[in-house]
Amino acid sequence: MKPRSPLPVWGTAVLAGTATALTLPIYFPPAFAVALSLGAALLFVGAGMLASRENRSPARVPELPELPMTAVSEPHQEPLPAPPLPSPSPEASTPHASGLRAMERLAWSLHEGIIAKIRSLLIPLSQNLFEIKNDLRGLLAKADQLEASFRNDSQGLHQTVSRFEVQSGTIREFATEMDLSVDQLELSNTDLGRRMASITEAIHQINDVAERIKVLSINASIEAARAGHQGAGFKVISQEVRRLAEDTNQFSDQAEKTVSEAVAAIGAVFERFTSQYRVRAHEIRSIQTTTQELESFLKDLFRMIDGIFQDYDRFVGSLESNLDQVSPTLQQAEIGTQQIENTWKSIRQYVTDQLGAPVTDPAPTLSAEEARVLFETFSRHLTTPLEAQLVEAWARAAGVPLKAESKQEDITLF
Amino acid sequence: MKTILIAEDSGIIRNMVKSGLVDAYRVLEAEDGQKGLEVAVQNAVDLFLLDLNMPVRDGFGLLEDLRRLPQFAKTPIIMLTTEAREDFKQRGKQFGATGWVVKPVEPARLRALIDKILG
Repeated sequence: MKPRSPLPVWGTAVLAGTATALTLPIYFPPAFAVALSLGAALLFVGAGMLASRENRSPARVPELPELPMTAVSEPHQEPLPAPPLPSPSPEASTPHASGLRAMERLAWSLHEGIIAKIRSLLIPLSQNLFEIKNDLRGLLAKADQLEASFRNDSQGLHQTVSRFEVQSGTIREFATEMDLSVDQLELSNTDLGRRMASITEAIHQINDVAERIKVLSINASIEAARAGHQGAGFKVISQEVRRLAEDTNQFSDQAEKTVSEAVAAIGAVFERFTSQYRVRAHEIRSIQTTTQELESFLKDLFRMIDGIFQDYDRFVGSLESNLDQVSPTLQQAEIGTQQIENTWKSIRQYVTDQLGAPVTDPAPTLSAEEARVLFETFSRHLTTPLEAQLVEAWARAAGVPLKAESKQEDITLF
Repeated sequence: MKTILIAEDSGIIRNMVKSGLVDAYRVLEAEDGQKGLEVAVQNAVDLFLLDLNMPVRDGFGLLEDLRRLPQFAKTPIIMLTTEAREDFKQRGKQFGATGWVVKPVEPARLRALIDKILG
C-alpha cells in the first residue's frame, strides 16, 4: 500500500498535540505546555510506527479500547479557517478507504473525548466564576451597607464617647473639689475644737472667779455680823453676792457641760460626714476610671472595626482581580476547543473528499482492527524527521498564538 | 441602566464577558446571529458585542442587519472575535463596526472600553 499523502498523520498528530496544548496551559506555563503537547504528538505518531512494525507480525498488534461516540454539544455551522489540507488525490479509492474512515473515526473519538470533556469542565467553571463574581459583588454591597450602617450608628457612639470624655473631666474635677472640701471641713473641725477648748477655759475661769466671790461674800458676812446692827444691810448684800456666785458656778458648770456635749456631737457629725465624703470621692474616682476604660475600649473597637472593613475591601478586591485573571485563560481554552473542533471538521472534510462520499455521522465505534489499519497507514508516511514540521503544523492547526506573537493590538476603535 | 446585547455562540465566553458587566449594565444574550437580531428589535439596546463566527447568521451578517435598522444606525457595535486579520477588521469597519476586540480579553479592559464608549 503506497502512501498518498502525509497529512492524515499530520492531522491526527496535530489534533493530539493541539488538544494537549490547549488543555495544559490551564495548569502549566506555556513553554512547558508546548513541549508536552509536542511530545504528545510525537508519541502518537511513534505509536503509529510501532503499530506498523508490529503489523508485520499480526499476533502482536496492540488492542485499543473502544471509544464511545456521542453528539457534539455545540457544533459550529460556520467553522473558523482550518489548517490547510491537501486536495483530494485521484489515487483515493477503496484500498485507502478503510484507513481514511478509521482516521476520521479516530478524529471523531478524539474530538468527543477531548472537546466534550473540556467543555464539560469549562461550562460549569465559567458559570461558577460568574456566580462567584456575582456573590462577591453581593458581599461587597452588603459590606458597604453594613459599614454605612455602622458608621451611621457609630455617630451616636462617637458622641457618647465625647460626652464620656467631658463627663470624665467633670467627674475628676468634682472628686478633687470633694477632697478639698473634706480637707477644709477637717481643718474647720480642728478649729472648732480649739474654739470650744477656749470657751471651756473661759468657763473654768468664770467658775474660779465665782468661787473667789463666794469666799469674799462669806468674809463680808462675817464682817457684817461683827458690825452688829449697822452691818445688817451689808450682810444682806454679802448674802446676795454669795448667792450670785453660787448661781454663776451653777451656770458655768452647766455651760461647760453643754459645750462639752456640743463638741462631742459636732465632732461625731464631722467624723461621720468626712468619712462618707471620702467614700463618695473614692467611688467617683472609680466611676471616672471606668469611664476612661470604656472610652478607651470604644476607641479600640472603632479602630478594630475600621481595620476589618479595610481588610475586607482589600480581600474582596484581590479576589475579584484574581477571578478576572482567570477569565482570559478560560476564554483561551474555549477558543482552543473551537479550533480543535474546526480541525476535526477539516479532517472529516478531507476524508469525505478523498472517498468521494460523505462520512457517516456519527461514526461508529473505532475497533481495534480499524485502529491497526489506521496506524499501518500512518506509519507509511513517517519517512522524514518530523520535529520542525510538527511544531509548525501544531501552531498552524491550533491557532494558538505563541507568546512572541501575542503582543498584537487586541482592541481597535474605528 | 444601559443595555448591552452579547451575540456569541459560546456560553463560556458569554459568561466571561457578562461577569465583567452585570454590576453596571443590563446584559442580554443571544447564542447566534439570528437570535441576536430578534432580541435586538425587541429591546432598546445601547451597545452590541458581536462574535464573528456564529451559527445561523455570522457577526458580519448581524452587523449589516443592525445598521439597516434606523434605531441602531448610530448604536456602538463592537466585534468580539478571535480573528485578528487586518482585512477582517477593515471589512468590519466598512460594515459600520465601532470597534474590534480580539479574544481572549480581560473583563476589566473590555469594561473600561465600554464605559468609555457609553460614558
